[in-house]
Amino acid sequence: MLKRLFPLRWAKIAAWTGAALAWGTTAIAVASNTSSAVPAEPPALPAALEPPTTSTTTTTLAPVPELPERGLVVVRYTPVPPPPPQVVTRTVVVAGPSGGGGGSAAASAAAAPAAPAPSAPVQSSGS
Amino acid sequence: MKRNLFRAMGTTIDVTAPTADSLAETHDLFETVEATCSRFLPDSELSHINTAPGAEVHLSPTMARVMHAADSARTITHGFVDAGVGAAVHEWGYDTSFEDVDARIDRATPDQAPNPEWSVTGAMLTRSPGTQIDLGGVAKGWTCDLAVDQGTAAIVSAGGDVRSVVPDARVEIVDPWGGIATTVLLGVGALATSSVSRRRWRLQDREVNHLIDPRTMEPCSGPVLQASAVTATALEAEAAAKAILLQGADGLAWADRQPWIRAALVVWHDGSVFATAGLEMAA
Repeated sequence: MLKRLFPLRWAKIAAWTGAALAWGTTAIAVASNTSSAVPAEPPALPAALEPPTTSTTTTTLAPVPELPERGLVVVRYTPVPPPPPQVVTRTVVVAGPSGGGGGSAAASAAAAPAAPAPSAPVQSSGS
Repeated sequence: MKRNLFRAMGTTIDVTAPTADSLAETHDLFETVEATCSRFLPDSELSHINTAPGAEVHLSPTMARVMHAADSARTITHGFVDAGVGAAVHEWGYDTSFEDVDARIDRATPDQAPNPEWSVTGAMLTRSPGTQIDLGGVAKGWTCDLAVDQGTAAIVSAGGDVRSVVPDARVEIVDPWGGIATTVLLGVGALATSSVSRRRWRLQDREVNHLIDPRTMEPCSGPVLQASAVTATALEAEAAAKAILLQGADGLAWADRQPWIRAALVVWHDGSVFATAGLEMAA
């Protein structure tokens, strides 16, 4: 049949070459369209369905102190969670035999701490 | 040497003295100064000053000396330590001895004008309307110095303010977690620690503390939880520690530039501890 349609050898070659070129061009075009496709923008939501706008406020604390001119000594660098706030409790004043009251009485009514050993170092824990 | 602990000025006083008599003298000294300078005792001289009408008030000899000490503290710290913040301290909720401060969730947030104005000349105090005096830290440091200078005590520690004339004195700096940040070889001199992690409470939804920044008249906030300073006197050390704390990240560098501050140390919000190069620590 091919001999009837394309009796000449050169005509057959030209026909097959043309068909191959057409097929190849089509395949490349399809591939190109697929890779460069831009996703379609979603349609705008009705105002009532839009997600709420959220804003976050963050406080940034300096990671280390400003460097002193004569040098900075890192005594300890082992970050730990911040300390919990001190629990504030109200002191109940129990009047003794000598009576008394008010702020100073509250302070003096507290149990006196035990005297430390004379050789124990003095402590400085902040006021 | 004798050593004794007692309560005064809302804190624990730790005294090492040559004799039992000098221990007792030191105890009496603290009680006398507290009776004069406490803003929590209604009959103290300071309470009368803070409620007195008029711009000028005549001071007793003891009060005049403490007010001059407060003036000195304000000068050397370039205004960071100002005894005139008493009204703001009161308004922010620290209006009673700290043992009695309670959660104050119903109070409005105070609004105080910054930079209170006051001056002391001789025995005369002059202040602008509304200015109230708070001598808490100044009075403690000044009393430590007086006890040591008059020879009744060798080492005095008052709520973190330490003054010593003992050459081999060591001071442990306790961090906000209760651990030892470091041990300082103090010797003859003074060391004070100021912290915003201890005397704090809640005001509405905000956590506040006792240290008021005179620039804003609001409680101190920043990356430093605790600051310590080594100086010649307890008054200077107390003032230096507060000024460092109030300056946050810049405090240590500021301390390094002050010739009257020998060394300084800060405890950072994350638990880290930094110091200036001059701090002498035990190995």
